[in-house]
Amino acid sequence: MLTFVHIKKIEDFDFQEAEYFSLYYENNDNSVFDIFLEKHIDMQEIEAEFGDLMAWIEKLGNEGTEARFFRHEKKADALPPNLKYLDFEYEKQLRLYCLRLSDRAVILFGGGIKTTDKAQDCKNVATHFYEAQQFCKHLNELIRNKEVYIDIETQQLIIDTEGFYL
Amino acid sequence: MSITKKALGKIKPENRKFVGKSKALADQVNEVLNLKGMNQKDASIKLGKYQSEISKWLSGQHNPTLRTITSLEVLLGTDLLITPLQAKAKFEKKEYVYMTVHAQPKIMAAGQYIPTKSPNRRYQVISETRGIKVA
Repeated sequence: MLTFVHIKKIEDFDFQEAEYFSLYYENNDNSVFDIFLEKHIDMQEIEAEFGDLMAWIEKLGNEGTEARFFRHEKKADALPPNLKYLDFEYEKQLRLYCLRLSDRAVILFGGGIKTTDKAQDCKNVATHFYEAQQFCKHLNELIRNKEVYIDIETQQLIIDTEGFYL
Repeated sequence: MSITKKALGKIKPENRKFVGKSKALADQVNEVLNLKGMNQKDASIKLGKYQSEISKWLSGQHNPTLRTITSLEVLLGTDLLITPLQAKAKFEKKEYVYMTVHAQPKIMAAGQYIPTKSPNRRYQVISETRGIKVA
């Protein structure tokens, strides 16, 4: 059975440069991003990782969501930015899947603590990874049909649809 | 309170500081490459680094050591980070050039800039009797 998915702006994220959006399954008051937050917000073992992730969302929201700050995860993107180089890595690899559409628009999905090299092999994030790929497939279709598009001048996301069936 | 607001409330000053400095460093590397007219591929060839590594420099989140930053500065031929003391010494340095004006001394009043063809130098009249400074 198909489920309808709504696209809505995250009104609480009122930043200077970019807008964030998320997806809501039909009859669910919480977005997929809300569910991610609910699950991880009070986890002591990822307190620093979670704080940094939120700080990146805030920073990029205020200064622009440039492509170079996003990981590429097949059709989707992810935060936080890549830190695998040199001598630093977080103890826990928190991943938030998303779709970065312009310097001023990002759609946030779900995520989790990645425990394997490949997201597909991780029991924590595989579901979110595949869900993100599905979301991106449908969102790209809406973009092709011009139901969702980026205003060339403002780089803002214009949504001319309620959502899509998944 | 909504979960999104609560999540923003979880950002500690050290999270903001860390992310701010990480992004600033990534932006600085990006700016240097742009000024040098280099893209990631050019940079990787010139610097003898893999393109993926250059990409990671530009992506922002990292905690490089002072030695790593210094290596990057040497490779790029410019400072990436300077301390407030160094910044003060670098940017507060004034170079005074004294000149004698033989005619119409009141044409250039104090505070005015003297036109120059050099894009890196601007001469400002600091007083009609003391001379000009490089602004």
